[in-house]
Formats: sequence, C-alpha cells, structure tokens
Amino acid sequence: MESCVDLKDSKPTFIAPSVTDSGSQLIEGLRELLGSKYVTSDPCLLDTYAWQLNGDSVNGDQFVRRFLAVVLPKTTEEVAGIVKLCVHFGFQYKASATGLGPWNGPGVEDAVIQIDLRRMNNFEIDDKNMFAVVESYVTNNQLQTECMKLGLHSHIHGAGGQASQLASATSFNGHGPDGISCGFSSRNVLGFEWVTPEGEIVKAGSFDSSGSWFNGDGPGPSLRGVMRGFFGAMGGLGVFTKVAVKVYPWNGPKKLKVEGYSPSYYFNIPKYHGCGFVSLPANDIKARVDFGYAIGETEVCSHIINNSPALTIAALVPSNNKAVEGFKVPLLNDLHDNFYLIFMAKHEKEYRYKQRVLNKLASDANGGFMGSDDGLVGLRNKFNWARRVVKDLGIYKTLKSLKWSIGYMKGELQLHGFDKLHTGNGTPLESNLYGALLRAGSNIRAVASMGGSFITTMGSLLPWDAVVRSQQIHLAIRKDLLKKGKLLMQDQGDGDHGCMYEAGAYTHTESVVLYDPTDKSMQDIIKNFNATMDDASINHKVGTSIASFGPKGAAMYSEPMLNYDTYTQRIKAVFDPFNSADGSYYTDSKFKLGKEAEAVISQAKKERVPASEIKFPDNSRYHASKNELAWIEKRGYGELEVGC
Amino acid sequence: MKKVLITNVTENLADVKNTREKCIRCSMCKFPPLAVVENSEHSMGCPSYEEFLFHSNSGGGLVAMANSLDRGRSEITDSVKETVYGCTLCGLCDVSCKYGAAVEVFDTLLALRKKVFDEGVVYPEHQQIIDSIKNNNHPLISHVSDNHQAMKLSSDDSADTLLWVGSHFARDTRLQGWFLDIIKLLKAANISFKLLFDDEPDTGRAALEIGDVELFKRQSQKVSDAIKLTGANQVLCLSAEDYSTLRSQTPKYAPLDVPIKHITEIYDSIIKGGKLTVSKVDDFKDVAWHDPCYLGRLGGKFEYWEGVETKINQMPVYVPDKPINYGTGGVFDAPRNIIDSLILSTRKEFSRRKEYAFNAGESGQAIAVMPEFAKATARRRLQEADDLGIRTVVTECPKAYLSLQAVIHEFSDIQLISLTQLIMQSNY
Repeated sequence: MESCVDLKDSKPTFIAPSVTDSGSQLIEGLRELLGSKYVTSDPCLLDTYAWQLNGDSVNGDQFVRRFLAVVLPKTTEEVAGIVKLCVHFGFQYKASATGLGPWNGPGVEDAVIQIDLRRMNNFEIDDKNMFAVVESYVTNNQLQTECMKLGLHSHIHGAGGQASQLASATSFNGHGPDGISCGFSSRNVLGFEWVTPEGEIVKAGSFDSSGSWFNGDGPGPSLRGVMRGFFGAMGGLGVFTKVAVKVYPWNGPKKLKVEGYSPSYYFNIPKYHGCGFVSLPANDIKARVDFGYAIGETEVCSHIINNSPALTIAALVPSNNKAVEGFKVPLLNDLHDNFYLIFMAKHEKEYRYKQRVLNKLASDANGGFMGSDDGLVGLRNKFNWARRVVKDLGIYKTLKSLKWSIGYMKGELQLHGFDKLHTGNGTPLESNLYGALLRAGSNIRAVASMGGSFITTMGSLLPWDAVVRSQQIHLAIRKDLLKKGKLLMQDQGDGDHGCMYEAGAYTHTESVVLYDPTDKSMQDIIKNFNATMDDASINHKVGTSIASFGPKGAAMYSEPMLNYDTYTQRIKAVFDPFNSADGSYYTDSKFKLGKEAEAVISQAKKERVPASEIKFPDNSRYHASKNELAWIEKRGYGELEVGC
Repeated sequence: MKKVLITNVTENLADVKNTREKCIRCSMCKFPPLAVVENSEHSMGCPSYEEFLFHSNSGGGLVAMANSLDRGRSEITDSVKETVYGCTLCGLCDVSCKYGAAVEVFDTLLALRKKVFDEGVVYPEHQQIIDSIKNNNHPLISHVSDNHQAMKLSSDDSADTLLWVGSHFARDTRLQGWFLDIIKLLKAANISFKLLFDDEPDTGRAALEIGDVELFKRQSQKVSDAIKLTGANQVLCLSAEDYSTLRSQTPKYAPLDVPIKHITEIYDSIIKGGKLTVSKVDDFKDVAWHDPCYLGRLGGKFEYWEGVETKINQMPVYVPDKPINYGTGGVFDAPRNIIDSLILSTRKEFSRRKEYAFNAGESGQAIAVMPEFAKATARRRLQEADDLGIRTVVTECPKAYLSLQAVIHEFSDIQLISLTQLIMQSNY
C-alpha cells in the first residue's frame, strides 16, 4: 500500500506551469478533443479523485493533492491525443483505472491531468491460445466470469474482483489467493499496448503475422522489464491501454451457483472441488515451513492464503460487535497458522488423489484439513484437524469453540432460511470461504470493515521460509509497539496475510495494520510503524516493503538493494525526456526526503527491536530456529540470514 | 470520559461524518457484491456511474463530494448539483459497500441532498414537486387525474386493514386501470379494507429525495397521525415506494407501530391460502421478476437504535449492538412464489436481482430533471433481459413500470406486465 514518508515537505522535480494561462488552454484543448461531457475541472468533482485510502498517513489528510482536470478517453488514439496536449502545454498527466490508492493522486497540486480510463472496458478471450486481451477498465470479475464460460480461469489480485485487471498487470503489484496456480499479475503479462510518455502508440510483446495478439514473449528483447520492473511505474511512464494476460484452465461450471443474501453468500461448491482450511501445530515453525513448501511443490491447490485471526474474523462476521465475540472464541483466536485453500480436479480419480496428498501433507506436519472434502479421506482429514485443535486448545476451549461454531451456523441458517442448507455441498462457512478465495471477495471486508482503513508493510516476494521469518519480525515489532502504548487495532497479535505463487516458487506475506482513519492520533503511529517495518526489512534482509515504492521507497531501499533506482531513473529519462508522466510514485533522481520523514526513519533506526527478541518472541511460534536452519540447509534454499 | 448518546437517525452531513470519512475508495459501490457477478455485460451496479462515467457519479464519489463540501474545500456549482441529482438513489452502492466495507452510503447521499437543498440550490422541476406536495397533497406534476378511482370505492370501517392507495395509484391517470384490477383481486379474495380517501397524506418521499427533510418530517407526522386515527392493525401499501417509505423512512421521524405490508405479500398469502384460486397459464414465456428497489433493498424495516460508540483500540463497537441494514429486509420471495404458481414454464432470473437488482430509472427524483438518464437506465435493464433471453418482465412498482414502459417499444421481443395483470390473466 503506502509508505510512511510524508509527501508534504518532499521536493518534486516537476515544476507546475502557470495554471491560469496555459492550464485553461489545455483544458479547452481537452474539451475539443474529447467533448465537454468527458472533461471536468469542477473542484468538488476533482476532490472525489483526491479522496484516497491512506491519504491520512501520506498527506496528513484523507484528501491527497487535487488534479487540474479529469478526462475520460474512449480510445487509445484519444489517450495519445491527451498526452500530446499535456506535453505541448507543459503539464503532467497520470492515468488510473479503478483508482484505489494514493499513488493514483498527482505529485503536484492543480497541475496534473487525471486520465480516467473508465470508458476503455472491452476485452477478448483467445481460449485456444489461453490468453485474454483486456482494456484498462475491465474488472477482474468481468474477465473471470467470461473465462469460466470457456473453461478458463483468470487471476484475481488481492484488491478484489472489482479492481482493474490491467492496472495490476502493467503498473502495480498483483498478489492474490489464486497465485499458487495463476501466478502474479506482472508474471501473466504477454503483450501490451502503450501510449508512451510523449504520446506515441507502441505495441510490445509477441504478435503473429496478422498483427493480432499472440501468446508468449517471443524471441528477442522484451520491453516488459522497462514497462513495469518489479513494482510497476504507477502511471509514471505513460499510459497502458491494453494488455494480453495469460489465463488458466478451469475445471468447474460455466456459471457459479450462488445463493443467499449479502453479506454472506453461499457458493455451491462444484463437484470435484474442495474447500477448507489446514490447521498446523501452533508452535512448530518447522512444520509450518515444511508444509508451505510441500503444498506448493505438489500443486494440489488452486488457491491458498495464510490469514491472521483478525482478518479472518472480519471477513466472517457481519459487524464489529460480532467481531469482538469472535475474538473470544479460542478456535478463531488462538490458531494463527491456518491456511485457507481450494483444490480442484477434473474427475473423481484426480479429486481423490488430491485429497490424499492434502491428507498426507497435513498429517506429516501434524495438522489436519477441515473442509468440504468427502469420503473416508475427508473424514480422516477432519479427524486429524479435530485432533490438532484439541491438542492445541484443550478440551474446555474446544467445547467453548464448538458452542460458537454451532451458534454461527444457526445464525447463518436463520438469516438465509434452513432450505438453503441443501444448496451447497459444504457448510455455510466453507461455501463463504470458497467465494472469498475465488474472487478475493473478502479482502476489502477483512481490512476495511473493522477500523475503516488499513496499511500494509513488508510483502516482498520471497522464499516461503523467509516469509515466515518476516512474520516473526512483524510480531515482535508489533508487540514492542503495543508495549510502548502505541496502540494498533485489536488483532490478536497477528496481522499477517500472505499467498503463494506458481507452485510455491515464491511467496509473499503482508503485515497488515487495521486502523481508524478519522483518528488523527494514528497518523504518527502509522508513520512510525511503517518506518520501523521498512527499517526491519532492510536490517533483517527480507526484501523491500510493499509499502515503500517510488522515490520515497528508493530513498530507503536503494543502497541495500543494489541501487535499483538508478535503472528506473535511466528508463524514465530515456522514455520521458520532458517528464510528462507524473512519476511521483515511480522514480525521481532529484527526490529529497523531507525533514519530518528523515526524523521518523532516524527514530525507527534508533528504536530497533533487538534481533534476539525477533528470533524468540515470547508469544510466538518461533522457537525452533536451530531446526529451521538445519532444515533450510538440508533443503538447499540458501541461508536464512540472506533472505531473498 | 463521558460517552455521547447517538442514534441511527441521521439527517445532516455532520451526523454521518464518522461513517463517510471511512470510505477507502475501493469501488465496491459501483458493482454488485463481488460474489454474485454472473457476466461481464451486466456487471455494473450503479446506474449513475454507468451513465455519467466520472468517479463522482458513484456512491463513493458522492461520499467524497460530501466530505469536500463539508470541509469547505469546494462549493455547490451547477456540476455539483447535476452530479448530486443525477443519481437514482437506488441504494445499490449501500448494499455493495456493506458487503465489502461498512460505510452508510445511502444515508450520506440523503444528507448530501439535504445540504444542497438547504443552501437553496434546487431544480425548478423539483420545486414544483415540493409545491405540489404542500398544496395538492401529491407529488405529481403531470398525468394528474381529476377523477380518480379510489374516491369511488367504499371503505369498510370495521376492517383491520388500512389500504394505503398512495399518491401515484390515487392520482396518476396512467395507473387507474391497474388500481381497479388490484381492487378486483382483493375483493375476489374477500379482503376487506378501510380507506382514508382524501385524508390519506402523501408520504413525502419525493421531498426526502429532493432534500427537503423538514417537509418530509411534517408529512411523516401526518402519515403517523392518520394511520393511528384509523385504528388499523395493518397497513397494506399498493405502491412499492410507499412500502419503502413507511417501512424504512417514516419511522425515523414519527411513530408507526403497525405492520406495513405490500400487495405482493398479500397476493402470495391469498394464493397460498386458497383464497384466490389461480390456474397456470402458458401465455407467458421466459418470465422474470424485476425487483423494484423500493420493494427490495430499500424496503427493509427501520429499527431505531440509540446507544454509545466505544472503541476497542481502533475498532468502534456499539452498546447496545447496532443494527446494520444490508438491504436484505424487503420483499424478494413473495412475487417469485406467485409467478411460479401462475406459469407453466420455469421462471427466469435477471443476473442482477434481489438486493443487488439494477434500477429501472424510476427513483431518486432524477427522472423529473434528467428524463434521458431515466430512459437510459430503463434501457439497460431491458437490455439485460434481452441478453438473458427474458421475454416477459414482471414488476409491481408503478414507477418502475412506467419507467420501463417508456422504452419497451425498443425491445420488440419483450413484454412488460404487472404482477397484478399476470394474476388477472391467469383465470383466477
């Protein structure tokens, strides 16, 4: 999400021209190009684009900077025209799609044109070659529902089904619960159509002789690295108007059957699909690491996430009052090491095979799978899960949890009617979970419903064991902050949310903090937390933080990360000689941290949590470091201290 | 620290500050809840955003406008007025937001309209509606009948049920035949009812939607007093808008302790109970129910809440537990049951249905000032029907019916019919 660093006293390179003169001419030109209906410069309407998630911690206000105007192009040619007009009049521009996040805002007030790509919402699916070509405003849900009709499945990133497929693929991060089978957004990019910072239309990737989109990156140099690098340029390198993305096989119905009412919908879990969660021993890091790698390598799951109790509870319950009750349920509160997953098969034989593999992996890790799988193996999975729970919680807490579980089921059935019981082949919990994973449908609910907002840190792409390590770091820091009276959201001491990608080849976990954005006292706490986590990421070598991209991120991470920003600066200089695309969240060679930001970072360094506490936090599962090191050595995944 | 007692009756922007400032611009409000999207063509939920395209035209955009105006960052301009009233107030944004997050979007939109109206910014057409409510006891500015049928009926003062005819069925020339059919069916089922005739006050819903909350409050009190005087123990609404208003809005400002029913619920009950004998007909193919917003997601019963907000660290909790309106408290099943009992074929469904149904352009008083927007919205609804192979669209909201009727001629394969007409044609 966003960095701790305050933009208010930063020094952007771009100097805005006189708004009163050339700004008016530019807006007039834009009206002529697009028609007045598709241009607005009304301050109140512009403010709707300035109201942003994390604006409070970025800008000291939930309103970030205001654009000069917002425009709505329909075609790539119109986008190119807008870009050329901006270049001509010396103004910057920034494109956005569904627009979640402060990086959609401008670096300079009243001097940047927002290109809202909302009218560009066409797509085509090439089912034989298994890719789709999507325009900027095609949502994840739109693509997925149409893919399913053709026996295909498309990746949905963590922001949810309502977010833009293209924006994630071309310009930002792209993790999601289906990552284990459908990869990461940036990894799914095949070709793309790009309006360069100066307004030239470029098609990159591989095309066949007819000029249509073709799958795969062909021979010769690829522009994908230039286009987005690791984090994406966040609008700082022109405008992407089309992207070809890989799609994957779907062994399910053409249309999902969904029953019930908001906020809990029942998905009829299709035949040969299984859904549920694996619980592992609460204090066995070796089991956790082993299981993570094995579940990836065996490729039995199509979806998997690791979620903290707080985020799980938020996604499950209809209100904060109910969440408070959820925090008292031992089953929800005490089990921190759950993996929520879906496995899919084409036929009975494959289904049984995957069940058995899941059973074996969970049993090897001394855990169990509680899910919608059936038959004897399903029973054995549930038995193992129950045994695991009783062992961790004890009889009393298990019975207490059982009481809550029965109450939850009863409540759900009362809400929807008992006749809905037969509509799915899983319990209400499993039916809900299935939908939540398939469409990343509960992610926003998990992070926004309780406090109102959230920030997230760490989250680099790492081997699984390094991810587990980053979680321990997070726990220790969080505990330390709580000890210092810097209160964060009630989260039962664990705010981690993570996924695996491409058969577990790499993974990521984010350390999420939920908070009330209207509470002004949180602004400093959030900044401090972010700085502390960034410092810890560097200090403990667990990659860059998902929160620290752009010039601000580079100010912290450049040196320990081999001066990576020198490359983005060179790319920017070559492709955008007039600095026309707003690169305030991409790269800026002249960027200087503000004094306030420097002070926050300096303070975070001074107040580092001692490494000893991170390795052996009192309340943590992490007490098997020797085993872990031995295991890693045996597996040959590199030394723990090296991290990524 | 002393806790301040708060309620869930919100009127001004200040009353919804705590919720509207928690919008994170996730865009959930623009679409149906993520779980239920069935196809790409009809995956949009917000009619205004679909028509006017800017983020400002969505629920989240309007919430941000409320935040901007409330903080004095901007002023009410013509563009602001057009954006605020270029919205059907259909409530889809509220349903989808609460599926994903927890912002009271609908209440914020009402408070935003109040703010605009209170500052003296009002369309002439809306002013006419307000004046008509005040002077004529109805909001109609066209198609007004001088010879309305309800006046010709007789009231059974011993009946327990008060028939709430509503301004539209009572006064709109286009609805008089439909109204008489309803009466015929009620009589056929031996349902007795009492009537208020000219003493039935307009609910003031139009005033609420325009932003004249003070007028709505006065009308609410009149409604409450009138119902109380009849001694009825049940109010039967013929109009979906009245059903929504009497269930979800009037009780915010005036006591209304009797159960409020809609005619579809009565139909369902009398058909199931054998009071109205119907036989299945094969005249209608590919039939689907259009959920009117007023009857569905805007029809939930308002539950008054008073209490305190406290915090567990950063998480607000309410003592006592505060009810949350998910938009699921209206009538959804009754009309479907009725259709199933009337047709031989299998009933179809819109892909956007029940609490996430797409609006037909009738609500929010946008139709009075932007008729083309209302038509475009109705057209989109019928296009959805066409794409799904629906050939008979059934509804029982006069305003939704009229809005759809305005463009039905563009869809030669689709017929529009009220539920009442469907029953009438089923050899009851």
